[in-house]
Order: sequence, then C-alpha cells, then structure tokens
Amino acid sequence: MKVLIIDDDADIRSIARLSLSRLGGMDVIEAASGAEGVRKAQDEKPDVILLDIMMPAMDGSETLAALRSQPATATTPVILLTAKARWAEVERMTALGVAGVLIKPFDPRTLPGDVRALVESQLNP
Amino acid sequence: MVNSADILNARILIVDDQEVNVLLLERMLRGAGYACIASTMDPHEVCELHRKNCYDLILLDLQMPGMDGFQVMEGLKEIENGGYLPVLVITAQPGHKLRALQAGAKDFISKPIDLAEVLTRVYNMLEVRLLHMETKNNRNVLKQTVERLEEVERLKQGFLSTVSHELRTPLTSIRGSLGLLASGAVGALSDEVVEVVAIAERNAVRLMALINDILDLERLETGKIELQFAQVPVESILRRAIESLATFGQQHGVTVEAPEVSSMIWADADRIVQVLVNLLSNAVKFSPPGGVVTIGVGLRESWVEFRVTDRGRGVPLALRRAIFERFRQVETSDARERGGTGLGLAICKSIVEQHGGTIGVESEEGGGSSFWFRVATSSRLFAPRVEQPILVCGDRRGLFEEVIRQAGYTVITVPTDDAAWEVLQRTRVAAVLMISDSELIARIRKDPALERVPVILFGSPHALSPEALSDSLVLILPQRVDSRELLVTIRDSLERGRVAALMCGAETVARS
Repeated sequence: MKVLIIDDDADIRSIARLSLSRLGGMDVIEAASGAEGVRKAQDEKPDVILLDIMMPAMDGSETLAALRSQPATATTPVILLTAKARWAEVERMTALGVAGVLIKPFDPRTLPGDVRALVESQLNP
Repeated sequence: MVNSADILNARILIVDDQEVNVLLLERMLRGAGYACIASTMDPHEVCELHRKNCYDLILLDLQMPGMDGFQVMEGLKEIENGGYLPVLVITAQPGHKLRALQAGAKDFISKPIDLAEVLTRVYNMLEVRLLHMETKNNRNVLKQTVERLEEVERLKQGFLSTVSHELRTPLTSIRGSLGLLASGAVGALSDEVVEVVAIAERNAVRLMALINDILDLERLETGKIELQFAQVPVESILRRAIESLATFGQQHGVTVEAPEVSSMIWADADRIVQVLVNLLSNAVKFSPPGGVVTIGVGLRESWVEFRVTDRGRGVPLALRRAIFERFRQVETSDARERGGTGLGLAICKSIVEQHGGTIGVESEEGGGSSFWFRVATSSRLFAPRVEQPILVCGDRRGLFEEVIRQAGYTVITVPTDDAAWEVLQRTRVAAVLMISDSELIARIRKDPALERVPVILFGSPHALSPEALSDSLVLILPQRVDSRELLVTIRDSLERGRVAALMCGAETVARS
C-alpha cells in the first residue's frame, strides 16, 4: 500500500513515515504543503492520502478540494488528521467524502492498523 | 489630607484693574505666608494664564473695564470643565454677591477689604480646592490601576492559551517518538529500555492531558468556547460516553452499567459527554478491580439528573466542595498514582454551570461516591417569553452574550454607554445588563419612557455610585457570577419588573 502524508510539521511526518513503513510495511511519500501534496498525488498515485487540516497557505479543506478536482485523485481515499475536533466537525468532515478522521496526537503503534481499516471500510462499505 | 504647608504653597492669581488693590492683596497674602502669588490687571489674559498655570485660587475683581468678572468666570468654567471653580470674587456691590455665587464663584470678599476676612476665606477655599484636587487625582490613579489590572488579566489569558498551544506541538512529536521507540519499529529494545521508555511516554501523555485541560478550562472560563446547544437524546449521550470509556474500563477490570432512557436534554452534546466521561473515568479509577460503576438517570419535568456511582473509597466530607476546584484531589499523591490532572472536576463544574445546571457529590467515606449533575430539558426553562431583546453593555459583554442567547433571549451587545443610549432611543428592550456602574443608570432613570426597564448591574454595593444604589429598579450581581445565577437574575427582573432586592453573593438585602 502506498501512502502520501501531507503535513507541514516535519517531525510528525517522520513519525508517521516510520510507523507506516516499519510497522505497517507501507510505501510512504511525504509532502510539506497542500500544493506539494496535490502535485505528488498526481505523480505518485498513492492508495491513500493522510491530510493535515491545519496548514499555513493551503489548508486541509482547500487541499481536499484540489485533490477532488483532479481526475487522477478524485476518488483516492483521504484520511484527515486533526487536533482535538468536535464531534459535529468530525461528522461534517466525514460528510465531505473522506475515508475517516484521525485525531492528533496519533499513536504510532496503532496508526498502520487504523489507516488500513479506514481504507478497507471505504473500499468495501 | 491637606496640611497648611500645602495651602501656603498653593498657586494664587490676583485679578484687579487697580494696581493699588493688587499690591494691597499681594502684601496681605505674603504677610500671611503665601509663597506663590501672581497677578494681572488685564482680565483678557486670565483664562490663558489659568490654562497654563492651573491656579488653586483666583481672586477676581468683578468690575473691570472691557471684560467684567462674570465674563472671565464663563471662560474659566470651560477650562475647569464642570469641575470645582476656584474663584473668590471681590466686590463692593452687595447685589453682585449672590449673582457671582450663582455664576459659579465659590465665595466672595466685600470691599473695602478686611484683612482677617480675606485670610480666612482664602485659607478655607484653598483647603477645599486642594481636597478636591486630591480626590480627583485619587480617582484617576484608581481608574488607571483598574485599567492596568484589566490589561494584565487580558495578557495573562492570552499568554496562557499561547503557551498551551506552543507546548502541544513539540509534545506531540515527543509522544509520537516515544511511541515509535516503544513499538520496536526502530530497533529492538532491552527490557530495561522498554521500562524507561514507558515511564517517559506515560509522563508525556500526562503532560499533554494537563495542557489540554488547562487550555480547556481557560477557554471555558473566558467564554472562548461557544457552547452549541441543541435538543439531544440522553440515550446518545450515555452511549457516546460509555463507548469512549470502554477500553479504560477493561484495563481496570471495571464494568459500567447504564439504564435505557428515552428523554431529551437541551445541551451541547460534546460538552455533556465530556462531563460524563470525566465522572466515569474518575469512578473507574477509584473502583476496586471487578467493580461496577452505575450511571443513574433521574427524570423531572424541567431537568434531567445524571448520577455516576462507584464503590470506591469515597470523598471525605471536608473535601466535597473543594474537589470541584482546580488541582484539588482527595490525596496529593492521587494525580501521580491514579493519573488525571486535578482539573477534571473543575472543567465539569464549569461546563455544567454554563448549561445553567448544578453539579455535586454525595459520598460515604469508604462506601463509594455518587457524583451527579443536572441539566435542563429545554431552553425555555430559564427564559420567560419576552419579545424584546436584552441589552448588554460593557467590556466583557461577549462572555454573557452567548449564555443569555442560549437561554432563548435575543441579545444586543454594545461596547459603550453612548452606544447603549443610542439603542435605547430607537429600540424597546426588556432589560439592560451593565458590566460596570456608570452614569448610564442615571440617564435611563431620568427618561420617562425607560423608567421601568430593569437594570442589572455587576459589582458590590460598597463600590457603587449613589445613583445605582438609590435606585430600587437595579439588581446587583457579584463580580464573579455563574451563568445560572445570571439567568435566574434576568428571569427575576423580567418577571417582577420592579425589583425589590439587591443581590450580592449569598447576602440579599431587602429593599422597599
């Protein structure tokens, strides 16, 4: 499984990369901004995208809209990463057509399993 | 207090077109010990001189060519801007005395001049003037101090929330890194390293919880968290709380039991779930392994009571109030041994009170505890039906706006007295809520159309103006007030119209 992580925090990207690759055996690509993420998603065609909501310049929802507008990534499962969200917000974001929402800080031990489960639930609803 | 040295050093101006009078008065005053004496024979320059030198006393001749003393006084009044006018007139005409006093002079001296009379009147007037200036200065100092304290409070709160946010980011990375280490993903660890990493990770988790709680409490207390009220089924609150506690309960070998309920409450669901989760996690923590924690739900017409009961060691009587305060656990070692931040119950209390509800505990030492809270079944509980809006005026208005709005009223908020007055001129309001005492009360009371509008005011009766206190339509709240008290006060003021009580904390002073 190929995963693209879009997050402006390099440390968080490293932790997610190590967790997903070492524990989950996944291929991991990183992007430090929404724009870079949209570009890499076109080139690399990941199986799933982890997308941080709070980013400077182009935030999570703008990035999501850009991903959806491109044919190559229109249906790619997206998992949102967010700090402490309200229930209503999580429901609203889920309604935007994302595979799921993971609350930061995530546990690197359970992250690969959570990602896999969310992608599978989207593929076989 | 004013001492005689201050009086002798006060600045005095003599105004007379006759040089001989000026010299005579000056000699009298110098002879009595006055040190700062100026004089002029030109009435036109009096105002300019006073503006520049701010005299404590002006000895003013009334009859002068070109510009008489009455005209001079008009100019001085403008400079003093409604304050104490330090003018002592000198006149030979008995008919001018009353007229001069009515025009704002504070005293008079008759010509021909009598030495003892001049000195006595000058001394007395200076004493009053200096006391007046002292009071004015004190008032300014007080005002500046209050403003500075408010600024400090604002900075403190801003600082707290910035610091908390800034602490979270690095801590998230530390926690994640420790989690990775512990997982063995980046290399196998010896048993001892696993143990050490577990200690570091456990404490990182605890620090994160502490920061989250501090941030939460600060935002709740400053009104930065907007509660999102709705009709919510009790059943979904129970289900969500139990779900998020499931793993924690299993870890402790404790089961949570809840009844089936088909009632609704008027609440911010996320926040009430947070309260219930908090109470449940405490109950689980303090239950013996294999124990049972029970959720009870009591239904009344206007409110629902949630009750979380455990069979733990209980809360000593002396601490039953204190545990709802910050960082107060039954034993100081509890935070370390049982986890938790010491802020959970303070957060619960704040949330429940923002719902207009109450929270409490019943307990037997050694025989378990029963924490309960009550929230309203509908938004109409606090709000009587009124068509007109509540006008909220003052600095911290945002804090109250949401609470009042959530209770079902319409609210207009304005920053200043003038803006409030403008609204009152064109809109009928049900009540006025003033964050601080001001002359707006007097303005409202003088207007026949507004005479009966209830005014609710924050502050202690000891620190309020006579206008505020003398008015029986004013209801006074303590500076720190919870939302339930606020809503009850608003309801009372609307229902009774003419309010007959001053409220100040627990003490209620009956008024006729």
